[in-house]
Amino acid sequence: MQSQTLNASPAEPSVVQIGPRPLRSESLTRRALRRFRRHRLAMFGLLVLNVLILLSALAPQISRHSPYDFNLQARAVEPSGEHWLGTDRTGRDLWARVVLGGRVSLSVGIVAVALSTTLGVAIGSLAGYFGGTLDMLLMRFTDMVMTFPSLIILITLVAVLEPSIYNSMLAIGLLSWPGLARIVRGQFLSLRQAEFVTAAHCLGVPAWRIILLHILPNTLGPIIVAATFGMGSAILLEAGLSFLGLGVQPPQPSWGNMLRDAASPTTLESMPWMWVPPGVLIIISVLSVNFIGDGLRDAFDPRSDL
Amino acid sequence: MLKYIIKRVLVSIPLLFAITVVVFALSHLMPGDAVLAMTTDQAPISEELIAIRRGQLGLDQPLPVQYVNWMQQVLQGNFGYSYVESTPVNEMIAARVLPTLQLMGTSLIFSIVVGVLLGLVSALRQYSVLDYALTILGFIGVSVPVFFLGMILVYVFALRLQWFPTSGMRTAGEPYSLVDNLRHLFLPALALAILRTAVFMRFTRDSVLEVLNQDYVRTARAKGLRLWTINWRHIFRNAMIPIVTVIGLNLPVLFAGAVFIETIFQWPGIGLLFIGAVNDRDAPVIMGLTLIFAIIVLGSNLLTDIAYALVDPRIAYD
Amino acid sequence: MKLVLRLTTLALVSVFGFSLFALNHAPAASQDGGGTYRAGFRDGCVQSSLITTCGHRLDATVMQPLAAIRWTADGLQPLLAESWQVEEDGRVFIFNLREGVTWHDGEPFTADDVIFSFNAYANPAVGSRWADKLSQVAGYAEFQAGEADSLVGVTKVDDLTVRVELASPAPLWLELSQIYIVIFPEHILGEVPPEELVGHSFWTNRIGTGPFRWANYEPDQFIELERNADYFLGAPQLERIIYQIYSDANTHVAALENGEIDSIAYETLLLPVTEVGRLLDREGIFVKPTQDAGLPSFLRLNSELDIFADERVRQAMMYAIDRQAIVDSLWEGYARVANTFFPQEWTWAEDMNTYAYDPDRARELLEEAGWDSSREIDFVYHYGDSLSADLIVVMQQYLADVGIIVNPRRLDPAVINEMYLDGSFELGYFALGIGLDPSAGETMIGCGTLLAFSYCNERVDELFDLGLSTADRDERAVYYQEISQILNEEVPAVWLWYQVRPMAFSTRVDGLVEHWQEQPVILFNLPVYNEIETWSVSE
Repeated sequence: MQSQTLNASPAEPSVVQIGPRPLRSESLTRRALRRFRRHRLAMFGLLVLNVLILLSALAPQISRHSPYDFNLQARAVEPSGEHWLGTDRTGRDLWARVVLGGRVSLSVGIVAVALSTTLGVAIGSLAGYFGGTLDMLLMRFTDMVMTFPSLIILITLVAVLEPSIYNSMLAIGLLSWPGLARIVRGQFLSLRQAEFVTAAHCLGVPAWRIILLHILPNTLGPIIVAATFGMGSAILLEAGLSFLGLGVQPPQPSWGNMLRDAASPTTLESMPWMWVPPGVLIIISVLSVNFIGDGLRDAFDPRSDL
Repeated sequence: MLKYIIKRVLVSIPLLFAITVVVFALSHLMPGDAVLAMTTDQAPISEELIAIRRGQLGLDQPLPVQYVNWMQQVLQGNFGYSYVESTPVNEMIAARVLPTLQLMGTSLIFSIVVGVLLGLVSALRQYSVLDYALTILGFIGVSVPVFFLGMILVYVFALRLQWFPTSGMRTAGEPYSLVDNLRHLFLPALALAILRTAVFMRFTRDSVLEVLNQDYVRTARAKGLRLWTINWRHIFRNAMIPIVTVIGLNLPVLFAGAVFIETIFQWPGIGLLFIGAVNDRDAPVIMGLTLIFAIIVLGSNLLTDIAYALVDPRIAYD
Repeated sequence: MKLVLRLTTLALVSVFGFSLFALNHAPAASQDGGGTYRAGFRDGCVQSSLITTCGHRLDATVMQPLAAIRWTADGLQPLLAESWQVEEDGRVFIFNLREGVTWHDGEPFTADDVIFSFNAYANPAVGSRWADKLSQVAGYAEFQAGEADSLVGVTKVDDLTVRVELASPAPLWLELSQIYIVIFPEHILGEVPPEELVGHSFWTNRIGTGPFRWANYEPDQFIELERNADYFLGAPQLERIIYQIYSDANTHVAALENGEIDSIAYETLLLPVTEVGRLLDREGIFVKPTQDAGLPSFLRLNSELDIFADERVRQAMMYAIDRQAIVDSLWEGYARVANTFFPQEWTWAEDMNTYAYDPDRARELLEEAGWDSSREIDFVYHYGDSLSADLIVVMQQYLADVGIIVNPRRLDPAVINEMYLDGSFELGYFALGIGLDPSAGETMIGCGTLLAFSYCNERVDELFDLGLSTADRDERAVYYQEISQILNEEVPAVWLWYQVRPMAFSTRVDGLVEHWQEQPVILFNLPVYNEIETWSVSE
């Protein structure tokens, strides 16, 4: 759904016309950091996201109840001092489930993005650095993966792999790298002719070192930006998969499957405590990630004179 | 130009071939098959019966043979017969293309018009309250899961307010009327449009801002050209380049986004067909749809590149 | 730029204006004749009557059997057969077909249609799911084995008389088997090769003899039927029936609430029990919460596994799950606790063990059986609704509480059916429509059947045979009660509950609510004579 737009395109305009950049990454990073700090929305997003991550990480410590223990005598209870967010239809504590669900949803986002970033960087840098036949083959492969509408193939892939949290991570990760691969390849194409690369080459530095230590640090900006936006769309994709019953499986909570379980008109009408928290948290977490992404993009944009 | 187009098309052919292999493999790697998916829990079925049905559908053949059979049909322009409905896949897809196009087209046009307009306003009034409000709204727009949005719209506008029907494409059994069709279209199209609007708005704003900061615009302003003249002649045209790209990139995504909305609204389009086919293990339909999607994506990438080339004369074709 | 702005404004204004207009546009009421009845219909049921288990609504209105189960009263409603004689204690049936019946295309209905249809169901090349409904007909075994090219037991006496001879007397054959067999037009399907019958385009444009004609089918949208003015039981009042197709249960419920459809019945997507309470309060909607005898739901055990070999382990699982609490809470009362397979009360033995919740007893039994609580059991199910997810989770914990660790996995039906076939599953949550009569249970629990796995009790098979040897209810009850007693003690599956499927109807349709109200119990998976020709819509 939202995936391609967010992870591929927003980063692209800044990349397409990227000009000569400072070669020493420290100053670049420092400048980016300084700019990022001045981006109010991004700082706000970072704060919110940190709170969410903290809550998720501490999930068991900050819940008075187990997220799994049902209580058929206390079903669908409104929020109270005992159950901060009320209980669901089996009487499970929703606060405990929401924070644990956050852990699940955020880790799907993080792992999927880690996977797609690794793939995207590896394929993009190899193609861009070596060029020629390898470039041609890798890029045709990238084209092919890009050609499959992500959600359509994601649904098929999850059906093949059997729905679960790990397979959601795997499937999302395996399908979201092509945009990044193209960006990285573009960067490598422009940088491999740069003087410092030629110099390193002449000194006999092995290719892998040039790729990893010389060129890659100079392309970190767009990679980080793409990864950030990618995380937002991975969280949304997981929610979407869960909605179709193909994502994280019960009893494990994720914000997506909690939302889906509350999708009936009765719940929407009279049990808002079941759907408002997971719904709002999905929106807030994706929003924060997108704010951060926006801030990072501005920060790494060499044309911006903020 | 022509040479460029031909080259692009030729490159796509081996790609398509590889795609057929992947598509075939994926739809046959799914555990279980169409016959097993049909053996519901309501009435037991015997092993003999399963064997008979498999034989009728050709599922008892080895996979490479099935692939070759399928490819022979595909090369003749038909995608075989549905395992479930027994109708030609071509017909099934053809019947769903118009509903999906209507839904997608409406939401796309709405979101392009509104998104570009708001983006423009936002850019021209940069750092105003309006700009901030629109920016934040836009961010929220892309952060809402589309199925959630659909659910809420149904609940509010169909169930509570009863302004619109909850689902379907038209009132069954009544002669087709445009008004009736549009009433059914409104909610699903709106759900899809909200997200796209936010995307287009964001992009328009960014690319207009970029152009505004270019030296020639500053020069034009300094020369005292009226703002609207500058906007139209200088800003808008140049800003269109990335916008066209984004629209092109969004075409295939739009089709995929239909999956959720079509399920929630029982919109008889391609997304609904696809979800049903995956559950039913209806391999010919899955393969037909995925292949057509792939062709659409290839096509729209090509169109985007051509449009890009047309809008920006600096791009060389070869 | 100004032009663009103006155009955009215009576009926005028109969209806005249109939405205002939409507010005042109520759904058009049809004024002609008896109106339109809009029934909810499940996605995927528009397949051949030869293979569907859910397309029977169509078979009650378009296609018809010789005789159907009556909606209310006992006995059978003569449809295409006007009367019949039973000879030789129920071994020979002679059907006198109704005279003057025509197919919707004007061709006369004759004995040839009946003979063709019986052979189509029984033909092994066709692969009909209902073939076994003809298994008692003389010559069925030979036909299935390929030694004969038709059913010798079915013969034409004259154009309006058909003689059916069974291999041995079956007094209940008409009531239990015949009613499933809807008759097809021989003049249309007669020339179709048997292996292409199931996939023939006829099924999306049917020609039948029923009160309604097939008018229009829009995939994923609706099936439209129109009045058959020449219907032999009198022209229907209703102008049209629309079967509106849904694939999502919540959408379906919303459509009923919004007045877009008139019924959610057991053959459509189920009405979620969570929605019943709200619908009960809605004006213009009639809810029939407990119509249904219930869908037997149970945990199916792979009896080939050593871990389930000990009867005490299986009994412990019955004690471990507080089924009554689950029925009262998660099911909101729309289910009944099951202690055996059959949902029909007359088949229940009086002194069956009720397995009331007793985790201590369960632990005791497990200890006696030497249960290894480190053994993790793969637990599969395929129901995608959130109630099922809750049920699974609750059962998982009840079992864990006594030391049985199960790991639930939701899989597609196709995958689960494959695990059934190759025997690779361990534990599964299932609900099975057993149908009208307990005799249908033989195909599910009898020795050597696909669903029974290696569970086999010869006494049960014997009793199933005895149960069909007489038509006398009291005598039959004795046999089935013994079966239910055995199944209650041996626990070949963990009996959970009979799922009562609530239904909801719009009071707009005269006849609809009345008839559902009168029907004592749901008869599953077969065309029912529902007097639909007498229904009408009052606007």
